[in-house]
Amino acid sequence: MSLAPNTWQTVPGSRSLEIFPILAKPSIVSSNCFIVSAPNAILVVDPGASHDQTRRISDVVTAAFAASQRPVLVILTHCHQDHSQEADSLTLPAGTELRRLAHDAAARVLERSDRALSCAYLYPWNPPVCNAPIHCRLFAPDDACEAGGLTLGRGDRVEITRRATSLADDVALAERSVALGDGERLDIYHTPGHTSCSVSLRLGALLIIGDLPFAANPGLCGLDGWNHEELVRTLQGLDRMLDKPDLAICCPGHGYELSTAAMRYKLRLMREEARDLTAVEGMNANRIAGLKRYTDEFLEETSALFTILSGRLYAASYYLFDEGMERLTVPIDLDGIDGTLTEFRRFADAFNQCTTPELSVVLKGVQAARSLQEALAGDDVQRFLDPSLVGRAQRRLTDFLSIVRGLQFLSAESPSRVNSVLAQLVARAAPQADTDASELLAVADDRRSFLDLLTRRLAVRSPFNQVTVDLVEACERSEAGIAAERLDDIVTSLIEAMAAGGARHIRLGTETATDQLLVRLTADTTIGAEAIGQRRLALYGRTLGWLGGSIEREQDAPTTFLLRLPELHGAVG
Amino acid sequence: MGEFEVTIERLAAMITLHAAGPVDGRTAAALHEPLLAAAAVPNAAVCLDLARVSYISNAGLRVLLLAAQALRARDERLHLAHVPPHIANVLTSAGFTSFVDVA
Repeated sequence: MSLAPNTWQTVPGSRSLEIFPILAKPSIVSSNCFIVSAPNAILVVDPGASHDQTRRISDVVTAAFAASQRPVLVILTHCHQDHSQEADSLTLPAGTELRRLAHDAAARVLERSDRALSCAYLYPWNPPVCNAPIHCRLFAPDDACEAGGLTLGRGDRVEITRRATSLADDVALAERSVALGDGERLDIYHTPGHTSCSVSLRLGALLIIGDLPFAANPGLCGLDGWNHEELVRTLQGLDRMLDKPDLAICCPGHGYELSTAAMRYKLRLMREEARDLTAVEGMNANRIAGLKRYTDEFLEETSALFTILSGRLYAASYYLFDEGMERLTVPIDLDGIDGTLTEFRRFADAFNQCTTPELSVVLKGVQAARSLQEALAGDDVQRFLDPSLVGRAQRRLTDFLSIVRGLQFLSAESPSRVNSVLAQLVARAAPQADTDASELLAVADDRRSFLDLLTRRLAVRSPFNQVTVDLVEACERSEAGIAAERLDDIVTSLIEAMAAGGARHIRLGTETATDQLLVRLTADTTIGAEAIGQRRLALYGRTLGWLGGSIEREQDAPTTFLLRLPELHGAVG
Repeated sequence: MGEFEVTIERLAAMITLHAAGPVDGRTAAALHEPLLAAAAVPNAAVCLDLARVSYISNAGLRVLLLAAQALRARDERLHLAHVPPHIANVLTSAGFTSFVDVA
């Protein structure tokens, strides 16, 4: 069972309700809207925040009104700008009775044009908050709206009642019911978590749940009004509700509908994720601006890493295949990876032209990071690509998702023995002697296996054979509050950049200064600052900074980088 | 000007392609055709000027690889000129500098 967008259709499980879904392109700019034609009212659920969408809604409602004149009830699933902005902007025929309904907390946010709780601050074009009156404030402490119903112009009333929930008390969701005529009704459940004013709406066998399915997403959890305890409790309640056979379809505030089984599965996964979100850093304008800068740096670093990973395979194929003959056939979706990064880069560029909210760029980064994680998850990735590069890419993706979510990955940072990390790195950078050929000989009769193995061997060979890296001046003290892999990643990236910038000999050393352990990298020549890339360097500095360390480039020639490593037990959040 | 453009200059036995814009999944095709066509010209050296290329993704590297392979068939190498440092970093780290000349 599914819903077709932009057309009228019977609401599943109802006799006389019809629905006209308007599905917006998923973004934080504007939400989906659902128009419902009922015997005694026309409902507009979440008008959204797009002028084009508002015109469409107005046309559809006007036509429905012409067919049968009824009051129009605008209902908000929550107070966020992308759902509520246009609640007072519909153009309807003269004489239309329009009433707005929302949770009491949403009404208070909108009345005082609260830019934080409505999230209006996210949008660089500074949109106004819709502060038109909310005629029915659902779930208010005095239950005034429920007691009196919704009064219309000619003295008519839309009856609103409290309903006793049939769910077990520990996961009960507060519930109200609006009579829609002909025995049809709209059930409204208080489902806080994403915001304190979130409600879910049931019509027949269809449930509209607003932005709940996204409440644990990196970049969205921690927004003003988000609440971990409420979210977990709501998810428990919805889990019970979605288990009932009389529900068929679930409609989120963004994107396509899901079957209740699929939504239940999604929400269960989300509940698992949400369980650990107890110490999420709150999201605000400053943090979003910081995340946007971090996202730019992440894009630069990730693009470089994935281009290098793919490039190594292409470089291997140069030696294996002639043009027009056999092609590289590794089972890794290189085009898909390229597409993800291209789309992400274009999206980030759009921000620089002031057409995209900062948080959109961050959320796009989350989407790209998840796609790239999937691309790296296959067994063939480890078989064909350089494991050290794959590890670096995986760690950057994990870091990014943790940081955007507001989790302190740093508290889990275990200390490393720095001299040992550097010694292993130097050994890895040393020119490799030709490895045992027996493996190749074993598959020599099978051309495909032979080429696969050769591709793999070529792809993992370090291209820095012409560079020597020495570990000199190791001081006795060697422990620092940074994980071995993270230190290795940063130093390796710097060595690669120095080598690409023309260095042929790089010296590594450790020393101490005012109780801090330092790592010094010195090239045998001066390398342009742009060889490393300012954003990538900023990313390493930011990561070290989170831990209580820093990175600096010394002014003297030849090029020297100095890493001040975090002290033991000195990690900061 | 579009987001990516290539202008071609031929001087004696040298064909130089001046690229401008990002070379990624959406634009690599616009480089593929003229670069491979240049690589197919007998007795001509091919140089790709990257001075105005802001970014190169793996789709771009693939086009460079195909041109390098085509040139290898007649014992030539692809020359890259004015390579921005961050792109040189990627080319070196990917191992391309072993079969492509970077200046």
